[in-house]
This record gives sequence, structure tokens and C-alpha cells, in this order.
Amino acid sequence: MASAGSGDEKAAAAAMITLISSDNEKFEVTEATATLSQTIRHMIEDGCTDGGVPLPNVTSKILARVIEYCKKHATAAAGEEGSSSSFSDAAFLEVDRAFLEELEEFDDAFLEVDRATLFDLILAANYLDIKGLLNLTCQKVADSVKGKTPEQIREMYNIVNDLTPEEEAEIRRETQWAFE
Amino acid sequence: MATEAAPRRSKRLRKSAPTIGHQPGDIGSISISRSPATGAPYPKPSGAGSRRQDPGAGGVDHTMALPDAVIEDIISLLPTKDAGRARAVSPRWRDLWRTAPLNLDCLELFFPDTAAATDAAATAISGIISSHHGPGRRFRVDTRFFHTHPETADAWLGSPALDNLQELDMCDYQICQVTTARPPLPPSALRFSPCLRVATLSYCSISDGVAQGVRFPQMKKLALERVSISDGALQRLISNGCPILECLLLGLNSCCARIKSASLRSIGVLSQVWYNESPVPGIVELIVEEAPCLEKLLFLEEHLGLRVKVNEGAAPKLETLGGLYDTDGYFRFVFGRSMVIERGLNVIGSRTVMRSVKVLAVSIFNLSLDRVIDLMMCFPCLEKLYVESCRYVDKNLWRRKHRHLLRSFEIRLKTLVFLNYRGIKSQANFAKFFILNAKLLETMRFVGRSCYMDNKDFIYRQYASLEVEKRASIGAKFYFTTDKCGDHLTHARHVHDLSITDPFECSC
Repeated sequence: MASAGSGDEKAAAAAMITLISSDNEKFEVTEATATLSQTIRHMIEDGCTDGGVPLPNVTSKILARVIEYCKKHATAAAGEEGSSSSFSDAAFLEVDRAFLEELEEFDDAFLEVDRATLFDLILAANYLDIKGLLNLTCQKVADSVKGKTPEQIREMYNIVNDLTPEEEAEIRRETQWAFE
Repeated sequence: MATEAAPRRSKRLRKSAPTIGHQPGDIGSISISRSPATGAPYPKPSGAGSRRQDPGAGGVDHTMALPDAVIEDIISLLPTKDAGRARAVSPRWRDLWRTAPLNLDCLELFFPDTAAATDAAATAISGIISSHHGPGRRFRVDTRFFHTHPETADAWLGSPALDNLQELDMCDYQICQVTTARPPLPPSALRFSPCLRVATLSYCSISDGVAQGVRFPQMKKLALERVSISDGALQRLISNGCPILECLLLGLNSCCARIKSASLRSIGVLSQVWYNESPVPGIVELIVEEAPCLEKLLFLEEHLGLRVKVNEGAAPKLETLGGLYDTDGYFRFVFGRSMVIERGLNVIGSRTVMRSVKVLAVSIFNLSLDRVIDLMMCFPCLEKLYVESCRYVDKNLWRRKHRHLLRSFEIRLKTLVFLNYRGIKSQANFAKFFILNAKLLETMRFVGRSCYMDNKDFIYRQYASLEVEKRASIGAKFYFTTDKCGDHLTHARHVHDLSITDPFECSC
């Protein structure tokens, strides 16, 4: 485990956590970044992070992306906390706004991935319980489904149609309002 | 695509001058980079999502690996109709639709314009709700069902399908309905008070007793439209009932709303003029007593009978204000102890300045530079001004009159948007004043009907008459844009829209 011993400047902020991907790659991240994941947060609370946190469901490629997301959004969360204590600062509003715009751009760019990666990110976000990332990625899938017919959705995601014609007819009858 | 030109100091602008480079297709269309909303309320359209990726994709069904809860999440993020249609994708999607958090937008599905259609819609809605297990994510319904089918509608709200509802939108589109006593807010709606984050309540009455007891600990966005509520109850609801409220939209016929909130960032007021409820408009009075986080004070439509008072120091962060309309004969805006803007947007009293305001939108029936300059002096740090004008009877005395003034008053304007522009002399003179005197000007945009903005000759003539080559700010850019969405000053109608960074910016 990589030691975080020299990080004395800001003891609490600099507490480091080691994450270990399924292919045994180690990533060292700050606690603030790691705790965007509720799963890891609970592990920290339970004191089970010594020697690193093994994440057998997440490959290094995906974990690197997830950490990239968490780093960016951990900064955002820190900024938000700051805003309540220093709202008398007139300049803050501007900074705040610019940062939110930047964050949105980051999210848009972050989602520019191929479909397999997108689904891996969803699985990782779900496993690590990172609400923001899960929402973001699910929204991306929802957007791709919007306006499509069932056939188009099946084709897009290679979903095998194992509904019998009778079942399909029944769905159309039950949910008639969706097919008008 | 931007129609833009920052012409050099050429003596004459010739129609064929290549420097201006207007392509016919360019004129009148401009891509306005929409300021991202701080809390983007609606699902963003996806850029790449609709593109065909991974041709073939090796035949792997990626959705197989996703847990049911994730598919349910995806389903509940879909518009109601899309979610229903997705049932026919596979047996798994069919079954998960029932357990996915319900996102039911009845207005998306039905237009109950006749009694028979209303009956049919009510039956269908009951069917959807009864086939769901809950929880509820969003329920949007026309309040007419609470009058036509009260028991059925009450059963909807009581159904487990809506347990834990996060967003309740009871909207009311019967805008010509004559006012009778408004029915009370359905008691079953109150069961969502612990979990609601967004709510629009319309055409109902909220009694003092209800307002006294109800608490919405998670409510961030609240709209009250055509709601009967006493002033005291309203004040209590805002100050105590919604401790983290950020956006408040009021569409009340007459009220005196005292705002005291540590969390409010944006207040919007809808007009009741168009509802035709009573021949005499009620006075809507808004008194901002203490709102340390308030950034936006928005009057979304032309109003009759609006009175606003912002107590001294009550809204130190107020940055966006408008639209102020000079057609409201009852209008009165009081800031602090002595600044008063009266009807016709006349500034009287001393000009206690509001330095925090950066964005202002005004609608002036009779365009008058004097009045706008007077207003601007109240808001000396103004960076962005939207001006809409309807008629043009300005006497154009501005040149002499404002010469002395400009020595003491510096115009800090960076952006001027001129709405309803058709290039007649008084308008051009108005614009020219800012071209010649606003030293920090970055952008000036003229928005008008396509018959002007799509006309190349019109734009060439404008360049000549506006004397852009004499502009005070060398870097200023000029755009001519077609009005795409009618003549509304603001682009907000729903409580979600109140969190848009600049609600006057057209992103239609």
C-alpha cells in the first residue's frame, strides 16, 4: 500500500485511500473523492480500508474513468459547502456559476464513450453507489431510447425479442395509450 | 450560425462589400449558446445517443448485465409514453415497467377536451396507477379531474403507486373558468409533503389551518397558481413550511406576499390578467423582507397591478430583474428607503442605487431613451439590458440632453438586446446612443421579425444608419436575429425555468 504519510499539510483533506481494480491496478485517491461512492464511504466508516479497497467488479480502464468523474465532482461538492459559509462574497456567485457550467461541460464530454463503456460505467456506478454518475449514465441511455419504437430499441441494444406475438398484442392492448 | 460583423472604419458600406459577408442563410439565424441552467430541470437531449454506434456491436445485449433496479431507473427517466412503449421490448422490460418508479404525465397522454374524453382519460389513468407498485417519481395531472371525477382523482393520490412522490404538478388549463369558490387542496395531496421536491399547485384553496400545519422539508421548487390563500398563510408557507425552498413561482390574483427566506434564489410572478377572472385586476404586492440568497426577481408576463418592495439590504445578491413593463398603470417598485420606480417606469425619489443588479429586462410601450437611462442610473453595475418596445414616438432629443450626463455616468453595459426591432428611426437612434457611448459594449443584438432580419438590404441599411464604425467599443459585435418564439420578454413559464441562468435569453 502506498503510504500517505507525507500529507501532513492538511491532514483530514489529504487522507488517501487506495482502490484496487479487478486487474490488480492500484489507484490512490483522496478520501473526499472516494467517498462520493457510498459503498466506499461505508467501508471507511467501518474501518475496512487498510491495505486498499479491492473492487473485483471494476476494471482498471473503467475505474480510471470513475475516479476522473469523482475527482471533478468532489471539487464541486467542496465548493458547494463553501458557498453557504461565504455567501457574502459577491464574487463567489460568478465563480459558482462558471464552475457549474464547466461541470456540465465536463459531464457532456464524459459521456462521449462507446456503448460498451457506457454500460460498464453504469455497472460500476451502481456497484459503487455513486448516485450522480448513475443518474448521468442512466439519463444517457434513456435519451437514446426516447422516441424509438420497441423494434428500434431492440436493434440498438441487441435485445432478443422473446415476446410471443400474443404477448406483444396484449401489451399493445394494455398500454394502448403509448401506441396511439 | 451568427450574422455578425464588426466592420472596419470604411467610409461607405457597399452592398457588395465582402467584409460583411452576409450569406442569405446566415441572416436571421444565430446559435445562441444557451447558458446551462444551474439545475438542469429537463433531461438533456443527447448528442451522441441517437447516433448509431458500435455497428453490429458483436450482438451483445448490454442490458442483460444491468440489474433490474437500473433498468427501472432508466424507465422512470423516460417520458410516460416512451416508457409505456418500451414495455414491448422484451418480457423483462414489460414487467419492470410496473415496478419502476412511476413517472406519469397525464398531460402528455390525454387531451380531455370533451366529457367523454375526460371519462376515458380518467379510466386510463386509473388503469396505469393501479398496475403500478410505486414508488412515485412524478405525477402531472390536470386539476379538472378533481372537479369532474373527485373520488377517482382522490384515489389516485392515495394509491401506493405514488408513494414517496417527488414531483407533483397539478396544472390547470381551464383558463376561462369563471371564479367560483376554489375547492380545497385535496387532503390526499398533503400526504406527499415529507417527500415532495417540486410542486405546482393550481386552482385550489389552502386554508390557514392547512398552511399552519404543513411542512415540506425537501421542497426546492414551488409554484402556486390561482390558489386562494391568505397572506398570512402564504408567508408562513414560504418562511416556515419550506425551509430549503429555492424557486418560488406565484400566479395569484391578488395577494401581499412577504418574503422572508434564507434559501430562496429565484422568485417568479405570473400575471393573472389573461385569465379573465375579474374585470378589475387584483393588486399583487411582493415585499422582500429578507432574502440573503435571492438572485432573480422575475415578472414573467405583462402585469396589471404589480407592486414590489425590496427592503434595504434585504436582497444583497439580487442580480437579475425584470421584465418591468411600463403598461402597468398600478406599477410601483420601491427599493430601500427612497428609490421608487412608478408607473410608466418613471424613476422618482432619489436614486438609491442597486449595485448588485447585472441583468435587467424592460418592456417599454413608447420607447424612450430618457426613461431607460434613468433606470440604468438606478442600476449602475448593469451588464446586460433587454429592451422591448412596441410603439415608437420618441422625440429623439437625446443627443443634447444626455451630453452632460455622460460625463458623470459611465455605461458599463456589455450586452444590449433589442427586442421587436424593426429599424425605424427612433429605434435606430436609441441603439445608436449605446453604440456611440457604451465603451464596454461587447455584443448588441437586434431581434425582430423575419421580414426584417432575413432581408439583406435591411441589415445593410441598418449598419449605415447605426454608425457602427463610430462605435465607442472597438470590440463590439452586432447581430441581427430572427425572433423565433413570438414576443415574450421572458422564456420561463414553469417553476423549473426559474433556475435558468438568464431567463431572458432565447434558447427556443
